[in-house]
Amino acid sequence: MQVLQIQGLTKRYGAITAVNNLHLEIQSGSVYGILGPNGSGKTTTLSMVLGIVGADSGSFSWFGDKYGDQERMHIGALLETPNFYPYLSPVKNLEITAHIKRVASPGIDQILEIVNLAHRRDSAFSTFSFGMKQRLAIAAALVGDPEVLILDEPTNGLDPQGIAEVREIIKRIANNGKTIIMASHILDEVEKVCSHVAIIKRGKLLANGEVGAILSNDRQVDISAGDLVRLREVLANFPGVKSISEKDKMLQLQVGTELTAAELNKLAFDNGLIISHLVMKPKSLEAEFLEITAGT
Amino acid sequence: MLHLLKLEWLKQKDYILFKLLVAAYLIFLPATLFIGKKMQLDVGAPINPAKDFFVFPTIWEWLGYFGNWMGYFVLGFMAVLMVTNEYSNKTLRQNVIAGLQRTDFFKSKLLFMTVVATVATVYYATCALVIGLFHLGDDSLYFSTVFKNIDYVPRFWLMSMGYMSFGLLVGLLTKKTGIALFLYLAYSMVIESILRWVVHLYFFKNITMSLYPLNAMEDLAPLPVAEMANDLLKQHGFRMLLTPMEAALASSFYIALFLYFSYKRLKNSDL
Repeated sequence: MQVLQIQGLTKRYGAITAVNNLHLEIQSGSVYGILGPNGSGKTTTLSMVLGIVGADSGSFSWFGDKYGDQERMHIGALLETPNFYPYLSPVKNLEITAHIKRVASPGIDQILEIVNLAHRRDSAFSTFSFGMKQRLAIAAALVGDPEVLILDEPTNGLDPQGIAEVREIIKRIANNGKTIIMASHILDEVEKVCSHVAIIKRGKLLANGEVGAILSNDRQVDISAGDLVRLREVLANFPGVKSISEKDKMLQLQVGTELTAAELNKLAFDNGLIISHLVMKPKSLEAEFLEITAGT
Repeated sequence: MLHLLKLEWLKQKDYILFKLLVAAYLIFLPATLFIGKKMQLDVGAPINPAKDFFVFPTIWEWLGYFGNWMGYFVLGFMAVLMVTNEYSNKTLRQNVIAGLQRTDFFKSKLLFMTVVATVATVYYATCALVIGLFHLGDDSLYFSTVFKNIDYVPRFWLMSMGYMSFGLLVGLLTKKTGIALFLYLAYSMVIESILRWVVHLYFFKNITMSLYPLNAMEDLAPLPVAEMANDLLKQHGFRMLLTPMEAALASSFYIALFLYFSYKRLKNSDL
């Protein structure tokens, strides 16, 4: 089932086009990452589909329009910063969220348990650290067990421990088969958590699809032998080797996932070459990301 | 409807400033009246506070006038805070994200305001009746004397709604508590006076100068001696005090206008 369809969404702020003719389709059950550098239009896009910012042109529809204008009742969202009534406790803040969502028994204690805030259930929100506020925002998004979760930079501003905790929470929720839309500028995060990804820059969609297809699984091999020229000749025609370059008296290869280190070793040995150095590593995602975003 | 009213109640009931404002209204409204006990005007003034403030039917006027100030400060500030807090805490945005329709957000504010104005009015009427009944003195009690100024009750309600809808609009326009309170006070105390007494009077020297929103609301429960001053002016062919009916019609018009613009503002702005 299609959860969200975005058609030609555009938003301008004066001379700046924050989101430029964006098209996206998000299927149910996917963990969809929206990846882009800071200021690329991720939050603006999410603000538009959540109805808090009006679009200049284009349209979007949630759940194939089956809920009419009540769609947000079926979505849980954390957008940018955690926003709560500072003088109220987490329990009372979540009660307001539940009241808006018309959830009769929201199970607030269990939700606070999930985000590790049960021990602070009765202290005022204003006394919370940023990490706790962020976790409460995730808790608010969980109220009413919504069909879709939107998480905008969920680990932003957290310390390493907080980041690990929040990622753990997201993974747990994703494992339950929930659709998650997550905006992030951190590749590593998207790669670890998401099944699909859309990469945007300056409001434009650069690429989208399955994480494996977009952020390719190619690996990099550093290989070296006594006769580098000969080694290069041998490797050039070997299937699975996509590119070869020379660096620091070593050859750097881009290879597909099917190729193993043993095969390379055997190939060299069969051609009378003794390999002095062989390292196989995943291609850096940063490099991939920079490659995709550099061209614009 | 109750659902939306309860939503606002959940937001307000633990808010310290809300509680303070309620307490201030409940205590100060009757308390100001009792200042009259200490006021000795032996200069041949046409009023005698120690008596007029407390007996029927003038208690309706005097308590109404003190309530005018309380409404202007307490209820107006409450309405301002009701919306500016939602902006500064970004909770309006969060409410909408959670699924609240903007129209429903507006309705919950309007319903709450209506309830507050109604409770404030009932309290005013109760105070007037109770205090009045304790100050019957030796005069025989006539039903008609007690309820002579009973029209002050609906006027008081309309006045409360007026200040609150003005506060709501100012809050929604400025979004910031400090600026909103400043504008609320500056408009009513300075800007409108300049518009009326300098600009308007330059073009039209008649009662239309009193038809400005905050003045019309104030005239719903004016300073009782203002009526005497008005009578004096009338002999010279000029009057500045609106009749209760004029004030009520003008106030209703402005309330509708303020609510309309508040709604428009809320409906269309990016959050």
